Amino acid sequence: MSAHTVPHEVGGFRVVPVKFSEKSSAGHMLYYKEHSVKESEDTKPTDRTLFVVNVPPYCNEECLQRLFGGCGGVESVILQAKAGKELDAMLEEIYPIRKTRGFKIAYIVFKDDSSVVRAMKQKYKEPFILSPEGDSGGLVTGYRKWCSEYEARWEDPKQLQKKADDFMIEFDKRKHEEKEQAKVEEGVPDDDGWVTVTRKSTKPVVARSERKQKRLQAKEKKKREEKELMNFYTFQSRESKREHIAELRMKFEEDKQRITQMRAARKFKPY
Amino acid sequence: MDDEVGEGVEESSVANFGKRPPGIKNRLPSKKQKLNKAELYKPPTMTELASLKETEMLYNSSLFKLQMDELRMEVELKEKKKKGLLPILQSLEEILRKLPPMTIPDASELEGSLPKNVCLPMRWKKTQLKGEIKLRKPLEVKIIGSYLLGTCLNDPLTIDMAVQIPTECFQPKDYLNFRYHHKRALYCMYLVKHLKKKKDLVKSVSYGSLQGDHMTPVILLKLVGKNATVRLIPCLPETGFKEARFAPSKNNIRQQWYNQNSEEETFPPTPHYNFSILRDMSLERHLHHLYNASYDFPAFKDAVLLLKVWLHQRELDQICGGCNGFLISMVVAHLLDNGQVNKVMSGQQVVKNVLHFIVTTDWASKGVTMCKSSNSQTLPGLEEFHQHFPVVFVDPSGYLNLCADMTGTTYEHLKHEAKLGLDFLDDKRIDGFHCLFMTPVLFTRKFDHLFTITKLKQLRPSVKKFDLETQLMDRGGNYPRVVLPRVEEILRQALGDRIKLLASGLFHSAEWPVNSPSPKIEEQGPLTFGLLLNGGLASSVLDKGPAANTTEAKAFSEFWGKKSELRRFQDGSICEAVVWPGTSVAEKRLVCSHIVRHILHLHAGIKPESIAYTGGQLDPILQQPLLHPSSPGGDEEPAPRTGEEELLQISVAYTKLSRHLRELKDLPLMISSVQGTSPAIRHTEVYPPCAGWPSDRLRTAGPSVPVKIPSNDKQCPTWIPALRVVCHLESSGKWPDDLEAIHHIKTAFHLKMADMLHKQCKLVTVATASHILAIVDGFVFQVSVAHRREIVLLKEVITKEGLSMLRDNERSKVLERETGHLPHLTSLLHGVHQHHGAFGPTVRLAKRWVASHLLADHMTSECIELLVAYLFLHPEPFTSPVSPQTGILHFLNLLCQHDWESTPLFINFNNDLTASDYDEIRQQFTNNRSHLPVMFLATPTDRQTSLWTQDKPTPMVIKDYIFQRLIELARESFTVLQQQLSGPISAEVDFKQIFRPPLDPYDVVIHLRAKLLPRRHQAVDADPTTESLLTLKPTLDAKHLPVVDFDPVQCYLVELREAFEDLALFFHDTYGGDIITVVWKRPAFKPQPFKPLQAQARIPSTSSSKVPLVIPNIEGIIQDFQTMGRGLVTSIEVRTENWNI
Repeated sequence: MSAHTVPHEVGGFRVVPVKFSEKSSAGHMLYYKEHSVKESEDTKPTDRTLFVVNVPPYCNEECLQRLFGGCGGVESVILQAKAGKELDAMLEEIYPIRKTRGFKIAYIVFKDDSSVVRAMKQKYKEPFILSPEGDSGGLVTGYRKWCSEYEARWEDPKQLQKKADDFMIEFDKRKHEEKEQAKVEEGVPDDDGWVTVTRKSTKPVVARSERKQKRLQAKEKKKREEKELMNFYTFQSRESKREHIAELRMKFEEDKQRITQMRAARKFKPY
Repeated sequence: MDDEVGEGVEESSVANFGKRPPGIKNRLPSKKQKLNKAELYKPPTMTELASLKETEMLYNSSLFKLQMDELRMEVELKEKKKKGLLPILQSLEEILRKLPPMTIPDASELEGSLPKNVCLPMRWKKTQLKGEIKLRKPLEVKIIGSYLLGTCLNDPLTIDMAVQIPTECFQPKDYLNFRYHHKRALYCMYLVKHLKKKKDLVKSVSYGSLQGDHMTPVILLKLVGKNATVRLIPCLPETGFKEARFAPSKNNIRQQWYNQNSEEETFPPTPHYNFSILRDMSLERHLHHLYNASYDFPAFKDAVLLLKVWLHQRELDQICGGCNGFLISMVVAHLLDNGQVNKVMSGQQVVKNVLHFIVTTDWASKGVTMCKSSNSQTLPGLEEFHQHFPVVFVDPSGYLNLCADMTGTTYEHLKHEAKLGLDFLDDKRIDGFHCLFMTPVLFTRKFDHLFTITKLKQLRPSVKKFDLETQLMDRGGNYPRVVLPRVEEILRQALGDRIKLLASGLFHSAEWPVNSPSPKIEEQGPLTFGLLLNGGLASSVLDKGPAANTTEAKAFSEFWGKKSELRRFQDGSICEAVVWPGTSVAEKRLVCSHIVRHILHLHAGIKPESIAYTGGQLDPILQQPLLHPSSPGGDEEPAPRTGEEELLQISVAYTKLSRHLRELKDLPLMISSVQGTSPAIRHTEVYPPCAGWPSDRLRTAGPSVPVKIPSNDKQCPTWIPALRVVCHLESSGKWPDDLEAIHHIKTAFHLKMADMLHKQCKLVTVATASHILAIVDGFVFQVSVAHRREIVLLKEVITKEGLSMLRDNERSKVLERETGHLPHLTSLLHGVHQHHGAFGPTVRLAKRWVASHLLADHMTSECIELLVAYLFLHPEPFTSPVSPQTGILHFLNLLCQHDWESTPLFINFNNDLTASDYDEIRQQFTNNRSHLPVMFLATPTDRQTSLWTQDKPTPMVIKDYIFQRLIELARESFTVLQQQLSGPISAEVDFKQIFRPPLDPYDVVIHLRAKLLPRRHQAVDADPTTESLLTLKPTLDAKHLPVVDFDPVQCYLVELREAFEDLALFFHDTYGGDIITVVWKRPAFKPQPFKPLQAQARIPSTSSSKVPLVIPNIEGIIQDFQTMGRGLVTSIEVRTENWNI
């Protein structure tokens, strides 16, 4: 891909070609524009943030900082797998399922909002080199990367223990406070005069869950069925006979259809 | 069976994958036409009511009846075809009736008087024929047999025509000394001479034999323009000779003449000789008998057709002395005479009664006779028949044994199949129809072990050894058939309890051209034996005989020859015993082959090397070069092991670990259950790890973490998998209701347990937040604590109303699968392995096959295990395989034959599902078909979700793509393997063929550096000698945890899949594959409008359109393959040039 065929803009996004290293024969194109959303987050102020898509898997925060550093001072670089707010960061850490090793999205937060304007005017002729040679900041990929990932799996047991202990102390404290708080609020009517009933109240309630509701419904249904008499009146027994024949007919008809299908699939050729 | 299986498919035809194979299309149920209400509830007519009631009572479902009708329509001869054949058959008859006479001037000088290009269909050294022989036009030409009865199969269509040789051709006493047979052969030659010229009617003329009997040749005519064969059977009129002459104990061959010596004449009985003449005299009478039976009996035709299909699928009609359509028709006629069947019965009932009759009677000891004549003085008694024939079923005349050629073994085989057939019909959960009639039960698929005696000639000397000279005369020199019963007897005695069934098959020699001499005796079809092994006993290495110095002991040692030796047993007794080689499990499985080779060599003089034994041909696939020999110091080459010993060691280590865990002192909560989840623990790991590992010079992670770290990029550490174990703790109210807190408590448990295991049990352990790694007996285990409440908390969703609901999500599913379903499945599958020793090896072969075709990442391991479990729990119409080789054959067949689109596969563990459960699941399945996975597996604990096939195999972008490929590969591998197993087994046959993947469908091939492949020694064609790594000595007393679960290729694949998931599919052989192959997802390559969130790896298209379009950046992606796999990738081969598809 020669540089001059690269358009500078696609669908409102600026285009910047990047390459992994000097030796790479081909690279990718990053697309970016001003970050604009209805509900902005504190970490990504809309006026001085760039929204970058198609960030290759091996590209890290440092690369992006270098790439956009030319437009002004960068305050922070946020890499995400998906656009928008990162949800369930805690869950993701404990039960990782999200894919984070593919192409990513980046938010570049500049120190100054003029940098965004400058970035939007920038034209790139030559592909930007993500991992320049001889530089200590070269990106590690492939076998070496996996080796270091393997190493990172192991943590000193003492530190691990400390982390767990610290959390639990904090957690117990929080729980205790909540409990105390609940005790204080127990039986106290709110502004509208309503008293919240909890499990710990003097008159405890059953926790509301779907399973319990279903069980209750099934119980009632069973009760109702038990009361009903079967084949008591003549019309009932006649009805049930009629139903039986209808059922047989239906089955027969279904079977016939299945056979037709099987025949169509040449299922009856024994050898 | 599908058409495609029959074709010789080349490996290369896999190339067109992506296309649907014919027949899979249009299988989706057409829109249901429901009966409307008025029709459904209209008053029933009497006939309708009766038929509905009948189907309900007689058949399990109306489906069965309908299926049978369909099958009958498929196999029976169509009226239309019959009409087309009529004029041809008439003109053929006409020709035969007007044959010009022919005279052979002197029988003693035949050579000169034979026509050119027509040979005699029989070989004889000497004959009593002398002087002039007149050959005249036939007395009578009649169509007989199934064609006339309407019970003949459409394909292959054979029409029997009896040609009666006129009496002028005979002289009195021609029944003696093969004179009749020789004249019959001359008559065949006479018929052929004239028919050969009729090119307008007859496409080709050849000779064949009547049920493989070389004494009674027949003529086979292929008709012009019709797919039909006319079989001309020269025969005698009913009154040709006196029947009483051919009673089984009468002699009709003079020994003096036969042996050309002047010994005293002894007149030994010649039952088979008599039978061959008597059969020629009875053709017409039998036809009449059957015709009377079938008259006004519509089910006769149905039943015989079905039974013929049943026999054909079992190859019972194709072996000499088997059970052909004629015999089974006679059985039906007999049952009708007997009143066990009546004329108002339905076809299915008749079939069932016939099967029942075969099962409950014993023709080998209490023969059956159809003869009703009370004239017991002249008729031979049943005892007389039993003296001369192993199986007795006498025809209505009272002289002819219809089972004269049947051996005891074949009869047992027939009975065995009938027994199975009855069971299938009775079990409502099995598709009895499919089992009985639609599945071929060939020798190669039915039996665990097969062996073929390749050089029949070496059976000749054993005739003398067994003292069967007179029988040889009786059979006209056909020594294989004379010796066969004795060989069977010896085999049965030698194998004893080891086998459930012995079957033998001397397949009919096919037809031969009229201008070549008839095949020699030794050129008969291969003599094949099938063994159905008895799971537990077959692999015992010891045959214990009687106590020493008794008469029985003498007989025993005589029977076993030098192999028998005196041994002292643990209980102090000294007995004769035979010990067979069996140091490894795989070798033990082949004990029967040693027995067969030894005993046949000893008693029948058959050279061991001429027995082609099929049993352990696929074992090399499971062997991996030993990392270290288990017997140190021994110079002896250790027997090749198939990993089964390692799996046992793992079981022992696992038990030890769980005992340690349970016995931990001072743990805040007791451990309530320890459950393994790794395949190795349920004996289904393809290549289980060996105890210990080679020493290396890798550095460790740190002083407090005794873990080795891979760092040297010259060579990757050996592959050592961690075996997973899940622990549940006793329930306690103290667990918090918070996921993060639970996580930290679990971490604390892991740390504590690791510490205790190290201190109390002296194990090397390392704890991480999510698990403990522990070394037990040289195996690495990964233990993690699970808490059931976690799953609930993950699932819990609270609605606005404050109602708590449980909804599955990705995280909860993963956790539930790992800690709930998988341990349960492991125990179930482990149970299957305990019952069926071949289960583990079969799964391992199956997994190896899937991986070889680079599909292992696209199918869960559990899915393969369940499929194999199905083969063992529901083997119908076979029996549970005892040899892994048969197992893998069934596995491949299951993949390509099962109708995945419209039927769920039931794996009924412990028979927990009832017939009504089956119906319910089926119903649900049909209703929700479009939302369910391509392969739907139902088990008692997983009825509606098919847990193990939910995500795979089903790629999202191209639906069914991988699945279709799997099916196609299975179909081809099945064809190849079946051919290899049924053909002559020799060293040249390459059984690894089906384990080599065809590479032509792939767009890109990424080649990997061998040194960085930790499992390279597991590759199908790995060369053990060049591996320097394998020569290293193991270190069992490790102080450090080795590098576990580290496979760079897997790391690479994860990254590739995450980055290019929507553009390409990646394939790799998990077990040492040195390539990764890539297929572009075609739909993703169409230029698409630019969307910022879907712009991954895409570049603006050069095409000029108003909306900016983007296409995948192929060059960039290929470069990424290189960049992301730095160190591992050696080269990238781009195979398709055209990107824009």
